[in-house]
Amino acid sequence: MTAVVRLLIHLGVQSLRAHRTKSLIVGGLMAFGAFLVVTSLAVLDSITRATRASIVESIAGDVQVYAKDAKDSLALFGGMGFGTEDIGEIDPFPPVRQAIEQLDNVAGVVPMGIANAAVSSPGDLDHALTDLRDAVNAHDDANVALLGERVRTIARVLQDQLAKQAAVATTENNGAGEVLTRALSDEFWAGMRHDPIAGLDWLDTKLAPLGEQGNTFYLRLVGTDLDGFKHTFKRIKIVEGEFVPEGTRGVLVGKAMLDKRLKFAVAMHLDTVDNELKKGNVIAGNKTLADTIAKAKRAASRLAYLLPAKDLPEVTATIAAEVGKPPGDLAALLQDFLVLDDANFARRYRLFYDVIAPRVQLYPFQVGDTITLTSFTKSGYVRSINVKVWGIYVIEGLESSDIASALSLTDLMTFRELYGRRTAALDAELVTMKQVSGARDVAREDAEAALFGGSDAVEVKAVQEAVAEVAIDKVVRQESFTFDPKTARDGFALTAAVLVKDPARAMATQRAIAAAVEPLGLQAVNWQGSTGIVGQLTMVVSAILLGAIFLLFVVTTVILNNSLVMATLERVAEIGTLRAIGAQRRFVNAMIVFETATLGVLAGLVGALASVAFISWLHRAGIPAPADVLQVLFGGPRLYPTLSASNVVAGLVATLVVGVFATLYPARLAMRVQPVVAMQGKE
Amino acid sequence: MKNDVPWFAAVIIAAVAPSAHALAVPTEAELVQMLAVIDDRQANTGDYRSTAYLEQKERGKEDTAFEVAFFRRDADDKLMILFTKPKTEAGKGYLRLDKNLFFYDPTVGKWERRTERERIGGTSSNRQDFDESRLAKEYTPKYVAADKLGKLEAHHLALTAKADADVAYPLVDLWLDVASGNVLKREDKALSGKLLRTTYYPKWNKVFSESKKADVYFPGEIRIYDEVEKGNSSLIVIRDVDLRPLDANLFTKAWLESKSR
Repeated sequence: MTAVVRLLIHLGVQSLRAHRTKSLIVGGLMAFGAFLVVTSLAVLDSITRATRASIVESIAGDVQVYAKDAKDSLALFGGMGFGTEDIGEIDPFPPVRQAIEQLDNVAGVVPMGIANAAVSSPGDLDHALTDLRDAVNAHDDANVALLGERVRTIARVLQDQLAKQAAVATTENNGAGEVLTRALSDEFWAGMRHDPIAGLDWLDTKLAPLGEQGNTFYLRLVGTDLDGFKHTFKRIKIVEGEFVPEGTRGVLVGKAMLDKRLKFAVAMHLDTVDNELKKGNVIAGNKTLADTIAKAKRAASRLAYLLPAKDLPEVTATIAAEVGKPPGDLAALLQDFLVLDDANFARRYRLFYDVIAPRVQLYPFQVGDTITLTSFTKSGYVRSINVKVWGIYVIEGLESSDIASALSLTDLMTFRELYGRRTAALDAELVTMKQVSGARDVAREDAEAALFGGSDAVEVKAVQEAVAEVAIDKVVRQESFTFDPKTARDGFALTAAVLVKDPARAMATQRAIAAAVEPLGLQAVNWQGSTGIVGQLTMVVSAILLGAIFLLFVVTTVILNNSLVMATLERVAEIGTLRAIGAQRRFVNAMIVFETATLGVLAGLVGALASVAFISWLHRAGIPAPADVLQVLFGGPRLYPTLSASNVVAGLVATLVVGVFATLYPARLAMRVQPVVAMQGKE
Repeated sequence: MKNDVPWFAAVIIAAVAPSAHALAVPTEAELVQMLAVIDDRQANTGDYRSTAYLEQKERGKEDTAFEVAFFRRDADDKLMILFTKPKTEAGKGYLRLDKNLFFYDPTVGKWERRTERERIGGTSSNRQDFDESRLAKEYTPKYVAADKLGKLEAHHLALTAKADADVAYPLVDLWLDVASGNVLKREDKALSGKLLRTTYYPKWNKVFSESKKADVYFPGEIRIYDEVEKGNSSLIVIRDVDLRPLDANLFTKAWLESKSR
């Protein structure tokens, strides 16, 4: 046996030397395959690690625990559908926390709840009128004058728009022209000084409907024990404001989401252009950038009334100097200012942020503002609450990703109000209300028989009753913004986020958690299964990469197979001679396979070494993430891949397997060679 | 706030829904005349005040119910709806002044402007619900047949919208009580003939109006069944109706705010 192996090695090495060209081609192919496999696996592993870091360590945790009988799947970042998912409840939370905390490898357990809330932002005119009313009520004459001027400026813009509309279409303005003329007249504002309330009512009912509607934007809120969250998820950093103090109601909003979705349109579009230029793109000939600039120009008309009146001369003079025109109508000057090209963009972008941006509100709210969150609660009713914005956060390494900062954070008490469980007290009140009304349930199918089948005549009741003075129960106004942290921690939550100490053992820990919470009617899922579209995306990307690797396998196998068949056919005489001097078919088969295996090991090593060098270079240079979604997958603007021993081993094994697999057919051909055929061929 | 909207629409339906006299001879000319009478009878020139119980069922959601106080002044197009129950909703309200609709939530102390388009979008209500009845002006009636609803004899009319009419439903089927002339049932349809919603008016209130010197009819109970979103339905029960003049201060933001202080 040893002699056979020794002979195989001898023949194999000799054959590789004798067929150097063939060996180089086949070996090169195998080395290239090994390089691609090792590199792909290293990149795939790095992406999984980076995504885990950006998602797991920022908000999701390694494992999420929630109700086993949930109607919907947990999707922290939102699923494919709209509305709030029904993922059941964990009530009470403390036993679940205790059950998980006692397990090995658990670093932290944080209660979480998810609620979607709408925030209404009034239109500019409504905003100005509300401020004006507040100033009137506060007898702040100086502010009344300034805000009155802002209202007049908006009216002037509306009048211009009306004139433009009239020039292109013959639509009726339903008296809008008269309203605007009056709102701009000195007599009206003189009258405002005598009877401001009557003037405000007129502005509210006549002028305000002519203004633009306000915006409603939506926040996906994660309600949590913010203090515990801060200590568990360490990649979240506050860049403006502060963390919500313990026992205080409040909300934290993601910076990238604010910048990319809610920022003042002119600034947002200019930021987009700036980002593209930083990536090396140019404005000239770029239709997308031209469209973005056009959008900024359209949005610029608002600046004429958003800028404080006292600052208008200075801003107008600066803009006029930049565009080389005499100071005049700011709206017209801004249109010239926003004629942007590669030569003037950097200068005008800086000018915008130096002169204009500091004087206008760039976001619908600022840190310290109280915003009204409105949600459709589980009880079926709408609930609105006022919450202070305490801070703006970023996720370290993912500062510019709006996907990573899509979730806003709030305290558990605020979440519970927005979630709005149906209470027994409410049910009882509804039953009483129905009894008092005399209403009864009627099934749709037999409505006609039930409603008209009892009497020969329809009931017509003569009523002439004086309704008592309408009184309502005392309305509970939200006045306190603090709460007992213990009450918050002991109440209910929708999920428990678990962060593990050693990510390498995350799967085993997930199984242990699942076993521990199963008796409590709960299930445990990993971060990919709990993050909705983000988790699905990472799985899709992984599947695509794995698919690409598999495809590579198939292609390499086919090419190798062809090369080896050709090489084997060239060796018919040699194999025939071997057979003639007594070599068995099995020996010939082993010889061919051994040769390829030897080549595979050598080529695999060469390919793996090349991959090590390439990954080392990539690790220093980084792979850029051009799209936002790739930033989440890459854990930042660039992916810095690393290589593990398992990647190299996997690459070598794969090369060997592909090589041997590709040899099976040619080896079979070689086995069939008859000595006599080989001799004839030689002649 | 969409949940609030159907109630608003429904209460207005309660206030403006058509009533009709018995149709003696159901010829086409007389039907036109009857629609004109229906429109005229519900035009209440004075003030209107009522309390109502409103209930909404939506498939896959918890049932909700409200009690509201409803005030209307047609003379200058003003309207106030104050939610009184359940406790969580008490103090919320709508104020309509001219073409403006404002919503107030006392728990956050804020007013919000709602446009007509907004309050209609995405709900089962439509612009027509907010307008006075203009059946004769907007539709051409056709007699279908004598019909029976339960034990009640009814005239079945098919109405087709006139070419220049701006209506939510181009086709409407009405069932009028032969004995009292009141509307018993209404089917709103799309141009294709697809049934969109069915409304029943099983109870009526008759109120003497001092300003009109005549009885004015208002539905006492309205049941609306959504025929597209099967399983969705609304129920409105009107308990008290009062047509005496209302205080002008009632149609102000200050009045609504004061109710929850």
